[in-house]
Amino acid sequence: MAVRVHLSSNLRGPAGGLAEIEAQGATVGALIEDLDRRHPGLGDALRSGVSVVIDGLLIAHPEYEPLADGALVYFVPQTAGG
Amino acid sequence: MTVTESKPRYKYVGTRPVRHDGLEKVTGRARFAADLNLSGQLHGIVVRSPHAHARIVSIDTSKAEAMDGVKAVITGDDFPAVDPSNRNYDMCVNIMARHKVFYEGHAVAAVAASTRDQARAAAAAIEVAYEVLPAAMTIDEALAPGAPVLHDHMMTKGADPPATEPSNVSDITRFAAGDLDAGFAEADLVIEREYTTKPVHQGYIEPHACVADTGQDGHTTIWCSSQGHFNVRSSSAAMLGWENTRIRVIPAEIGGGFGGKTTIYLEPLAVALSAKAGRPVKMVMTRDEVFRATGPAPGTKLKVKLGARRDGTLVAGDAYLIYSGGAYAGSGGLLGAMTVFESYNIANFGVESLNVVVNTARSAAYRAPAAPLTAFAIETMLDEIATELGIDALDLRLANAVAEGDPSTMGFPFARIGFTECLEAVRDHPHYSAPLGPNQGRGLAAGYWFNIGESSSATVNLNEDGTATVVTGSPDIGGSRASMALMAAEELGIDPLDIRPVVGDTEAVGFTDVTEGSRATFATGMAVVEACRTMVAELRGRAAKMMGTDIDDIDWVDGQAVYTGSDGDKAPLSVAAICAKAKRTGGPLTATGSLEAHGAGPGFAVHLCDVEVDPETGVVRVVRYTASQDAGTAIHPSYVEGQIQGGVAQGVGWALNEEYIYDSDGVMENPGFLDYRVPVASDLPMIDAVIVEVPNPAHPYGVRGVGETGIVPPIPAVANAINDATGCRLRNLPMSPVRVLEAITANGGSDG
Repeated sequence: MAVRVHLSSNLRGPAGGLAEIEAQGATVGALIEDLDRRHPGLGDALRSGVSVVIDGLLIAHPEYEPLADGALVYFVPQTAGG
Repeated sequence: MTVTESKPRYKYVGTRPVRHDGLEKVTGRARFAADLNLSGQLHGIVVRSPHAHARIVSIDTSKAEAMDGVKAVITGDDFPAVDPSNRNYDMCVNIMARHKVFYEGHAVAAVAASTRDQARAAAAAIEVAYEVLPAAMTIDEALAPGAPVLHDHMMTKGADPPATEPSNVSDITRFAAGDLDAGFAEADLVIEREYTTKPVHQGYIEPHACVADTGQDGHTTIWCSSQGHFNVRSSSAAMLGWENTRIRVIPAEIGGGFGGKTTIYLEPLAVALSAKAGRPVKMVMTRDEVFRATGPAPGTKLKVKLGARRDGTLVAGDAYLIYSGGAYAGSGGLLGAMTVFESYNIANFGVESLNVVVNTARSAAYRAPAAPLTAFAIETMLDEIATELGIDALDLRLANAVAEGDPSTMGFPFARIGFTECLEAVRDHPHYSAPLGPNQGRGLAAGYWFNIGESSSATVNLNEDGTATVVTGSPDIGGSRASMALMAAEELGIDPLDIRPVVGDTEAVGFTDVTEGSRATFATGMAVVEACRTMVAELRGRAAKMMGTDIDDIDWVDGQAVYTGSDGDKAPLSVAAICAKAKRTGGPLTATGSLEAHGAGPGFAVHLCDVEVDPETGVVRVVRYTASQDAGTAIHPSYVEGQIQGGVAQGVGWALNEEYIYDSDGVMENPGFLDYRVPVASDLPMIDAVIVEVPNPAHPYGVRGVGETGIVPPIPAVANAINDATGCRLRNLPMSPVRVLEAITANGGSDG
């Protein structure tokens, strides 16, 4: 699956400052693997403490979330609350 | 008052039945953790550090162990060693210090004895030798050159270049968008302001309390008050080095949490004492201990710069935010960075935030953590911009407010949100145009909170008579049981008062995350709906069997199985009728729902506050308050209003009175409600809660969390009202009478 990835600005360091990246993955976990191959170290930054937003839906633990071809996936910091 | 976007008509959702736990609460029969007593129980007391920062040289427990009634004494040596690389390290060494103490009140030992007096005497007989170290009590002290470094392992995450030496900065977060320099160059007006705020406590009325009963089989049962008993189980297990299955946690009623009971302090100590003594152990904190050793919310230093065009369009924002996390790494910096510019469209922004450790109690979550403080900065600066540009303060916000499709600070486009509707609700409220009296002023402010989903479980059991029990794993900290019953009633078609909503213990219901992030009615409500929909499918099947037809010929309509087939007329069957035949149609009727809830909907609020300022004393009195908030759908409007009103009350206290005060040795000087003054009913007017309903498309009933957003706008709303009344702009909390008076009389209109 070809997927468009958007990184929140605090996560762009390992991606050389890129905000948007084209990558591959049938699930968010597979997508992170592919991102880590393209930008070594990015995988570690995305595997914990990070949520995704897909089609407007905030998903806190997305590793096995399936992705459609052409999906736009936003990686954002995970939040908690009080 | 409710402002509602068009939505489906519901029979029960949106009504206001008497809460199921109400009678027990008002008659004093409800059992909180401190109300529980077991046969043969001992009483546990914690020995706490008198120093803000010290090395533990030795602990001699021999005298205490020989005293009358003493059955067990524990120190850090009674727990497995823990390494800083362990994700539970901070929690473990906060619950019981190892080698060093990091704040006055830090636990160093605990004792269990037959009576509380005996335990207290034995605690006093435990001899702890300390090597006192210099302390860093404030952000400035922690960041000063040569400051004492609290943790040798703390290498600043996010430092650029990477940190090579330990420091008191645990992490740095940066967000940016657009071109900051170009943005400010485009601005006709640029203002830059600095703010300071003090740590404040969540102020829950019920102190932390628990009873632990550890058996010879190595299993324990804990009764306690918390915001998440599954978290009590896993955290206690981590501290003790046990498997989860050895610990059962039974939730007591909770007397307030507000985020402060999302973590634990006593439970592993009670378990360890109970295991050592072979008897149940009860531990109840005093108010003094609650203040010294739990909570608080972080103190901050904030520096924010905003640029706007002459027409009010915000074009640039720059923020430098420092949050003190207390003795261990906090999360305020990240959340502050995520919230500071989140409510408004600002094409060019930069944020840098730091979490700093200081020698005060480890900070804990407090409703919408970090957001009230960034709102204090942004919302008071917007007021200044509106005044400078001659634009109405509400119109300025309307012109810049984020709406569906606008990008968040993190880049993703907002789904349907109700910020504009909240602004309009306040604009259209009679309060907005009501005249003010002498020495009075009016302040407007907005607020935002993310809200979260996470994991929840629910079980629905239908009883033989057609009534129902709904069991969830979410402690009810704000009326969520009533909401669970209402959603189940809507799904099943049963009167909500015929449904008993119960909070199940860790062995009675599926895993459920902590009640935090305003998630219970949203996420656990989804689990209840899921369980009910499974139940309805089962009821249709049972009805089909009773009618001698196929399930596809049965619809569920208003609590009845209705035949829709073509084989003549068949009388509808009620839930009670189907339950009465359950033994003959397949056995007990039970269904579960367990899920990870996606799509938590952000919450926005807009508040309007009138204050009256005594020009001779500086005392500020809130005389009128209106608060609008987008609830998505209000399942039980009374409890949505209660959440809004509670948030306002706490926010007003934060604005006007509350702060931790330490002496020169780092000892807290006001650890009681006499000297740490939270608002009481007589301090506040009736708070008019205006519920705005812009349904969250990700929830079956459109729910957004409502528990936290209400505390975000009050601080700036009060500050803006004080400015309107006096012409003084206060930027340091609390806005106490002394500060207000100084601003009026000495400082030419500001607090320094």
